[in-house]
Amino acid sequence: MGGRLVTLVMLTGKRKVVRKSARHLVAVVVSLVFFVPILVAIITSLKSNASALTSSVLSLPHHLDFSNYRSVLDLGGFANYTKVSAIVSIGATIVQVGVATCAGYGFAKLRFRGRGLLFMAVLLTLMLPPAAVALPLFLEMMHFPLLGGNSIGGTGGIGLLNSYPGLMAPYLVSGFSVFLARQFFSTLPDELGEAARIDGCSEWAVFWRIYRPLATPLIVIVTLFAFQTAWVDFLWPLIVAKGPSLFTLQVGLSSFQQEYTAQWSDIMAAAILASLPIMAIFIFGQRYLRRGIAWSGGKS
Amino acid sequence: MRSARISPARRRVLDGASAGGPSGDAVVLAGARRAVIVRSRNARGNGVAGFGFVGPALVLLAVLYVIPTIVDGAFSLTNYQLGGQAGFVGVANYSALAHDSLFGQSAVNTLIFAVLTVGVGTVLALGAALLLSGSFVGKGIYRFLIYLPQSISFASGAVIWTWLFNAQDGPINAVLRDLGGSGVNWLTSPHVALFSLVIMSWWRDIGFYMVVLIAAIEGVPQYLYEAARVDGASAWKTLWHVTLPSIRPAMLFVVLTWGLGALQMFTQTYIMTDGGPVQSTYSVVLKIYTDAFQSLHLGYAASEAFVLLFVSIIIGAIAVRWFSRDLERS
Repeated sequence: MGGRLVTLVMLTGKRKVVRKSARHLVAVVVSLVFFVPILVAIITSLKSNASALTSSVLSLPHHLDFSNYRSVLDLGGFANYTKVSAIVSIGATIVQVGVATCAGYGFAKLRFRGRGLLFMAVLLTLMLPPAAVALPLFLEMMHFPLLGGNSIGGTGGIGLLNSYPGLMAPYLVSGFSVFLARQFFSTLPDELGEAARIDGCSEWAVFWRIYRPLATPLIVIVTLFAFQTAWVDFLWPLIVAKGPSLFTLQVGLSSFQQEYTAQWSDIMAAAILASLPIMAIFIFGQRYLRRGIAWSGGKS
Repeated sequence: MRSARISPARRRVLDGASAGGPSGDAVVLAGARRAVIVRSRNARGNGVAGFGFVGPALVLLAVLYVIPTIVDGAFSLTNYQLGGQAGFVGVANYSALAHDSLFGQSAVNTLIFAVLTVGVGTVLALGAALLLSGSFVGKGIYRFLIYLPQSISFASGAVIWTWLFNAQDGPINAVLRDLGGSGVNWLTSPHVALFSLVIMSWWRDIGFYMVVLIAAIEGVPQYLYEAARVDGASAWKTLWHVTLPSIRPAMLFVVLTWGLGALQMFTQTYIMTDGGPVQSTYSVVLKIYTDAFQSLHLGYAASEAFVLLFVSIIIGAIAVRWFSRDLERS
């Protein structure tokens, strides 16, 4: 590489070329630093446990061996973890998208007393760290009245612990998605709704028939964000699920790693499995995610 | 025009908060016809519909965020243990906290972790953003690769880096030995382990903040750069006097979000080191977790969680003040 640079300089005699090549060189090195760990994990997951220890890190296996994935899914219980993760993430996402879209529309397009103050309160919930809220939320779920064997006073049973609703709880709403939705609806003209109201539409019909069909990009973005948050969370499912039957993939992965220490190929296969849907979202939904980041920064 | 993405939104938010929505001036500016419509809308009881739309979100936010925060404060004043009765003990938990050396150690570890991760990480993310913004062939693929670790969950990332950092068999030490060096005890030396967790967090998160900063940098108006060029400013001076002041709101956003996230450090230390070696990577949230769910001292853990809540809210409030002062000046 260095030799080629020198030749280029001699041929053109321009500093610009040097600077450009140097910039590419830095960019290549930096991207590799970020990409190689993923590459190593994928390659290792396709080797046998023994050859993961003996062969060189980046040497490809002789033949692609997906047996690690199969054994992790069957023996490691990852088929069930995947099911739990899917139910929790999809269920919570549906609720969060519905709730956030309605609320964002309300804050952007309807007038009511205390609107500004209430929206400020929504933003303030963004300051509450989920990891600190997890413990009291656990207590609240445990003492949830009349569910999970609890009396009306919230004692006697386990409440919503070790249940799907309990696992979904923190992702049913997010101040961030309400904020995104409000930003989005503020960009749509008020006149659309006024015209429909003059024609006699109810407030719900104005939202559902006029504004919601225009909100597809918003719905896609909130769906991706909500699904991702629910899928990758670790602390909450760790404390709410009492046993492997309700472990999500992230918790299952951690318990698998503790049980099968040093079986690195299997562990890497499990790690890739636990992130697979998010990787798919990233590769196919990139465009939307970037737009979401831009909106959250207030470009509306 | 994409200039200063954060500030207009914040301004709108702040306006909304202080004046109860895009009220007065919007109506005046929009002219008589609109004023009539707005008045008639209010007269038609629009207010009730508004509560109907925002109600579900507000109820869920209250149940899942606000009430737990209050519950936490209440439980922190008790000696509640899992399965036992809760007795009021006043501020005894908090005075015990002050003498709890493991809590102190965890707080120090968490702060060092946050300052290193966010302080150095922001500079690295800014460097990557400057490198990959503007006209640059192939920038898309470079950005994608740096951003890709965001698609790996924290747990997966932690597991992967446990393997990479493994002292005996891990790839990083294998490469170091091939190069003639000696291996490093990445996760087993008390002097190195916390720093190894910082490296993992950089790897995971720099891509996200780079994208935020690229969006801000590409929104800086071109005429500012042209003016700098006409004045003969060096690249360094242009960065210092044009780019950085223009992306201040985005930088604040990065430091705030990343910092509040880093204070919640848990998954990495739980999976990669379990707080060790010799508690050198014990974090505040890991301490809360072990006190609550292994020692079952929920009341005590609630007081620890309350300290974390309090610190986060203070930091958030200070940051919001900075944001708004920034807006007044700009």
